Amino acid sequence: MPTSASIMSANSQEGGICILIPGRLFAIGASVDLKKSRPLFVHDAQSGWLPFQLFVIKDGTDTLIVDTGLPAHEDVIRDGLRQLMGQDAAQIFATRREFETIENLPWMLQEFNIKALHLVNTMMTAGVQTVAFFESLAAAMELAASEAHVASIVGAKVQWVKEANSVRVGGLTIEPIRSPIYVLSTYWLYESDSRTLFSSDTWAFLSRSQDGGACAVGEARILGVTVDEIKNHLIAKFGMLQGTDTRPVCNRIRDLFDRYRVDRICPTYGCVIEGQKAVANLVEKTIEALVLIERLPRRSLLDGLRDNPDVARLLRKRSSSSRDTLIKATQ
Amino acid sequence: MIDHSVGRLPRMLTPDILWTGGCVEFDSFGRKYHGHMSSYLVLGSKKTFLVDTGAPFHRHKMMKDVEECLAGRPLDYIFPTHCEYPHAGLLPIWMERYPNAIAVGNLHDYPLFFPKLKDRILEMTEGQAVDLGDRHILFLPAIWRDFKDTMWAFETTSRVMFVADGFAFLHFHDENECDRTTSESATEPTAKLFQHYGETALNWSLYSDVRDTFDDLDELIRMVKPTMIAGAHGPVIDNPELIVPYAKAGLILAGQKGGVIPADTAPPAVA
Repeated sequence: MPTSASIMSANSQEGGICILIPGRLFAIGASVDLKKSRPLFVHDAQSGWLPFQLFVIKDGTDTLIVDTGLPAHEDVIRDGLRQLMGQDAAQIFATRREFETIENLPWMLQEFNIKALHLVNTMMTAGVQTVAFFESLAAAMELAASEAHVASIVGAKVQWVKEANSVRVGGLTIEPIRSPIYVLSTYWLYESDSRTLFSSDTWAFLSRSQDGGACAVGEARILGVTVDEIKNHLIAKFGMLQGTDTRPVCNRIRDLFDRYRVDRICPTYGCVIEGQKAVANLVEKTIEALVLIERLPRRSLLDGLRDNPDVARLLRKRSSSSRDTLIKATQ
Repeated sequence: MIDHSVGRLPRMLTPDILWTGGCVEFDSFGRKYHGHMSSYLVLGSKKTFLVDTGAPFHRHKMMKDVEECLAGRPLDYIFPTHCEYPHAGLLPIWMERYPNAIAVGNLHDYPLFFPKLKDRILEMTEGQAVDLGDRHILFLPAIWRDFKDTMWAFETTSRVMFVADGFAFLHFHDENECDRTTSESATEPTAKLFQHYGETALNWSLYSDVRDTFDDLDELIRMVKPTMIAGAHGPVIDNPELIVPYAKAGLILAGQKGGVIPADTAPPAVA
């Protein structure tokens, strides 16, 4: 069983490829300069370079690609995939259906030998009791919409992710887990052999001080991360948590980490977190951050409009022409 | 272009606003339900403006509708309300079809997702406006949203407020309702039909008390005074005073299901 090697040796880079576990786990991607192109889902207080990556899990000749990376990094990703897998058959698992996780799908599906695509449904019940009426309604609607969506852009076979359905990669069994924090439906993945958790956009915040591809950080860095930094990350992406009851989210996170021993967290962006102690420390501080978030007041979204004279002027315009009214149905 | 209800899109809501797109259909409990995936085209006297890029499976039909409505005019602005596939996913296709069009909105991240379009992106924020000649499109904060980059927009002449995933609800399909506005509908909406989208498009309504947003919503409606509320996922609302309470009630139902709103909370009163 591969173990977490030291940060130095497991963090070696070849081009855009970061070797996390030699022969087994790789990250491919590049960084975004937060001074020039800070994404809206990254907090203002974050600085440096933020890596964006996809992950490649290999066991023998079997390969699973987790997410597809940023379109802005297409060339690095293409070169990395050619180097790591050539035309070996592979599967792709998209942890959520957002632009930084699936926008590269069309060319990847055309240029590489992708035999299956695992996509998440957008209906999340998250363990809450559902009325059967809406569950079947939503499931049927989403399936119809999503299949048509995917079929219209690619021709690969689509597997709809369900928590009970593991993904086999060679001798590895990789388990999808519903994320306890999400904007759209999100699944984490847990690979038990290396105890790696692919956490999508959760814990996706650790930047690096210089440009480069994916990299891993360990306990020393994590011990220096403050609860405020984690709080800022969470409200930047999951702003709806602000002022809410976060106890269900906290409980779910505790349950997950009681159930799964995690030695490594691999987010879609941000540095990889390496080491069981680092992971434990991060999770503990995340719970504290969620408690802080619960106490944050919600602010009005209209502050910028209220005393804006240009807005007032535009809103004063009136239509006097009957042509601008709704054209009603005629009998 | 058709200017009254015939049972299916496209439809001219006013002489200058096209409602296009389509529905996703499914059967449940012996009835057909539909969920809209709508886009809107505004014809200003000098510039034209598309709200949302639509769903891929409606693409060909939508592009034909828009082209016919433009009647030889260029498409000048494309506004993806937020960075989710049913709303922004077809942006490259539209931008290729209309090579002089500019993407406009809260598009700060788009160069990362569409690097080839980075020189045709105009970032706008809430309170800013685009001049179409005889009217403006004023960008507004999205009171009900999933993604942080979501903006609503307001067309100042017909006073139509475009609300992305807000006010989304299903409709029964028995009566060929796909192009009917809420005042024309044969059936009255129910809070449950709003609840569905409250749980799927706006997941936070399951674990966050949506009532905290009602003050902002009410104030925005008072400020803007829309005659129509046009969302991406529901019939166009042309009697907002009647329908807004149903929308609120639907999100309250979602919160009750999630346990964050007490079960005995009274629904908002209908005007």
